Amino acid sequence: MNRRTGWGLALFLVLTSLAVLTSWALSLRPIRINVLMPASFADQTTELVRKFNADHTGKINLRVTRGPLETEAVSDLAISSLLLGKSPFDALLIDVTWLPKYAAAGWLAPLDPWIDQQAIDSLAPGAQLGNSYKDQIYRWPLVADMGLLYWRTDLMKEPPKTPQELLEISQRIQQEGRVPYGYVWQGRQYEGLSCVFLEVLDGFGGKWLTPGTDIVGLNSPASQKAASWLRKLISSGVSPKAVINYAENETLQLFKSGDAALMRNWPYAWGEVQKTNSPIKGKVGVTTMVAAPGHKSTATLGSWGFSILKGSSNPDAAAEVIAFLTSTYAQKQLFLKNSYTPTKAELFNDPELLAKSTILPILAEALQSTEQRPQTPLYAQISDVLQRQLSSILTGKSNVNTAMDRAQRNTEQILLAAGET
Amino acid sequence: MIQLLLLPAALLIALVFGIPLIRYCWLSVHANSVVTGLVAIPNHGANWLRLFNDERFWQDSAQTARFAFVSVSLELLLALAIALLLDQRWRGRGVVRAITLLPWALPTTVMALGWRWIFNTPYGPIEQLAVLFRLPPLNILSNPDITWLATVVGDVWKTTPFVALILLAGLQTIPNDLYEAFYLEGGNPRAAFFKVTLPLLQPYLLLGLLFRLAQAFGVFDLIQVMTGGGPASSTESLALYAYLNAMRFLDFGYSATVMIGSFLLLVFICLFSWLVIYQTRHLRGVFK
Amino acid sequence: MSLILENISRRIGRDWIVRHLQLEVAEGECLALLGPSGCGKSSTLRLIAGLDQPNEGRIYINGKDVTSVSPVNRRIGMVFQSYALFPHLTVAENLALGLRVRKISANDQYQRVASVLALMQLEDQANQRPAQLSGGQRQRVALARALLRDPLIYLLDEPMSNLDAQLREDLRPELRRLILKDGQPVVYVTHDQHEAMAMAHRIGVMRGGQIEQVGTPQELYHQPTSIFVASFIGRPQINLLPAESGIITAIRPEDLKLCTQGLSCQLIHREWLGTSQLWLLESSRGPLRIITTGDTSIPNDIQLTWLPEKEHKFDASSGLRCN
Repeated sequence: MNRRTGWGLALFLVLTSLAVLTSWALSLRPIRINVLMPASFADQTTELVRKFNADHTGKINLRVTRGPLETEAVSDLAISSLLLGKSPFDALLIDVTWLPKYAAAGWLAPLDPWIDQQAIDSLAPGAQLGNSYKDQIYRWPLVADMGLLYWRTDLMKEPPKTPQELLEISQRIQQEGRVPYGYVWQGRQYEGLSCVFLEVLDGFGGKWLTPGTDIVGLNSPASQKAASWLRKLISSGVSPKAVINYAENETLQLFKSGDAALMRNWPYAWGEVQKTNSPIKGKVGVTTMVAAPGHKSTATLGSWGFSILKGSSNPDAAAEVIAFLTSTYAQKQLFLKNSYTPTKAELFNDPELLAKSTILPILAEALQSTEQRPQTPLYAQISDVLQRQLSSILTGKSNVNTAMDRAQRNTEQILLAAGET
Repeated sequence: MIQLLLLPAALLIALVFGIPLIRYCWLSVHANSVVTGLVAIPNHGANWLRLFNDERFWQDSAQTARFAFVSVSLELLLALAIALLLDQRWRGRGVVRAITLLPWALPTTVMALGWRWIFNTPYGPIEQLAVLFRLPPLNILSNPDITWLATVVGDVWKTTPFVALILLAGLQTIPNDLYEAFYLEGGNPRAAFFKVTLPLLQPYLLLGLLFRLAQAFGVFDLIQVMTGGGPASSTESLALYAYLNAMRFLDFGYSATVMIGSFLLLVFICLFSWLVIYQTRHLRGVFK
Repeated sequence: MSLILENISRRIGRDWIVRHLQLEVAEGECLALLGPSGCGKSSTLRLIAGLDQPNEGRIYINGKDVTSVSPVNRRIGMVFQSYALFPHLTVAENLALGLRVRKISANDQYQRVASVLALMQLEDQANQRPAQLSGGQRQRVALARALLRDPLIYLLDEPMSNLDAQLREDLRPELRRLILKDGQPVVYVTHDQHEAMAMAHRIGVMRGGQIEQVGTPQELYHQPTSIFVASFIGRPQINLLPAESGIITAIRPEDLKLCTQGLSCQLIHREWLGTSQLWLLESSRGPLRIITTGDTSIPNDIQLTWLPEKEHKFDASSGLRCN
């Protein structure tokens, strides 16, 4: 062996060893999973994320991208990243109404490989809704959310059960001069108004869109009654005219300062009115929305859950992340710390949780009677149509019949046009 | 030679302005929405036909134009007054000049939230004032006839400083000699304003007008945060409508049509305003 | 017709811009205010126009105290250094503007503008804007505007400084004729001594807000009352010999003569000036400038002399003339 061959062999051995070492090191490098969440969720899950990463050192590294505060801005961010092609995210935390749209756009991966019947059965009944599109599961729920009726225990013995009762009780209390306003709710021209309307519509026995069909029920007698009732709340002075621009925050602000007897809001408001600085602490009860005699009280389902993006290169690892973040353990932590309503059925009977919150049974009950907003990729459009017409009714710009007829017609046109394409 | 030097700038404009414009034009003759699975399918002008028959588009156009004209006019008037004030020599002028710019530096969404609170019923300061004067609740953000004025207030508050800055720059190009010559000829300060200041400021007024008109015509985040387009859609702007179509409805074909449609309207409005002003006698001289 | 400034002073903050200024300009007289920049000549003009107010002193026009009269009522015909023409108006509109604000009837306006346009030979430019005019034309428009003012006095602030050298010389006689034709007193501000000498009957040399000396160009040249005036007036500059027992002797370059027995010098530099030449010399009494005829050749040994009566003598400490 001459010198040159010797050097050549040495070089070959060094290079191959380097290659082997590098690939070994690479195989050890943990898989990175990036999840986009709205700011509040990202903030509340930091401890869980830390625990997950500690348990998966060297295997999976979970990174949470803290999205904007406004939920729609989170959707804008997610959609922009998806439109640009390769999204940096493996999974998203999405609202119940976004699912059909995202699934139809082909952005989401079906979760069926990781989910069995047992897992589905472990969810509370209301939480089982809103996770699938065209018979495939695309989302796994983290937090359940539903519309609730908050009432002042110091102003009335029993909460109103029917729309008529709500009007009467409010007016009586107002006439007695105990509060300036009766009932506050979300009347701003935005998604919240659709949620409010859905509850009232169901309470009068109506149906916005019959599932699986294109049958629109916006000009039905029930629908007209529902819209008229909302209008009457304002015209009779039971609700301040200002609710026409109220979203959740403004509603809570007015109720929390003790100026209203009743409020429609989500479960998060409970934590707010029970805070030590709240003038109405200990004077608030929670129930489900009013319904006309003979009809069932319903709560609009709003919930957040995780979806895996089709473009993710590590869907298995992403599924593991989701399984952990939605586990009984995680949900328990989130409820105890942040009052996030769980989605696992067993947690509603958990003594530790029951001890912490008196409204858990009410939430469980409300979750039994949740109603979904129409499950269609065109939901944003038809909800927008409804909001426009409702706002027009609430401001007195249009009368109920005309506006609801228009809502009916426009919705049918949107569904029809989509069918033609 | 000079054309060659302009080439990089021209290319840049073509890149950042021309390419999206061409892309939107192309999209506007295609169906491309969640219904088509985000695939572009030529639809032979169906989007444009829909646009012409879309009452909402025309309503939004009228509302956007109303918003733009009223806020830009108010901005020009106020900015002129502020610029004249800031052009005078007085103690502390530098500090005031800096403070005047503050609203302009504030992010629109933050200040829109601020205005939403200011107009809040019943807790906002405006309503508190109404209570003080024993007026009934004003419900400014719940009245389709006046809510748009509240958005105008927000816009004027934010962008007047910017226009004032343009006009101040304009005022400082007017030599003092001209005023002195005018006073020696027998003019008074009032006449000087109309015969010297205004005509010489006209190019700057026009600049501010066209610039702000284009901006106000694209108003989006202010409205989105303050009113969400309501009540009764009375404040919805074209940009908001285009945004809804794209980001909420995932209907990119029609969204592009709305955008190109509003762009054409804007070009028409700018040309019209420019012509109106150009026809006035004084301006002809300045632009020659 | 006359203009009298009586003990005028103006101060900005702590600085005196104009100090105890005394001046009289008679009917039909053109007085030039000459001095380096910042000497207060333009400030004086502004005080006369009423654009600034004096802190002390009084101003009389035709014997009437106008100190507290507004600029417009002083009836001043002023030509600004920049000409201050309105860029958005045509020449005719520029000229008519003053008449219009003074509410002269439309017919009169037209007549007067037309006649002044004719006088100034500006008829062809009537509908042009200032930006389209040459420098000389702009100056004529500015002057035309001053003429239209029908003024009691004319004030001209460096009216030539925006023109090139040749044009300046060409325009002097015409400008002088126009401003003096109706006999109003004229105050003419310039930093150019040749222009001052060419235009003015008398020149006031200013320094530090005060008038150093007023007199005819000849008086200033031959009898300067201070070293400053002696040095400021006359080019090439006067020769200053080093002080001897507190007295500075000054000799004009053309008063130095070559001779065979005198002050011995070395030639440093020579400039041809056409009919004459300028030599820069070094002597035992410092550097000297001498003007000789164009055909003088340089001798091997340069010796200089001068007549004693050509000497200007100044007190070294006060700088004032003492012979």
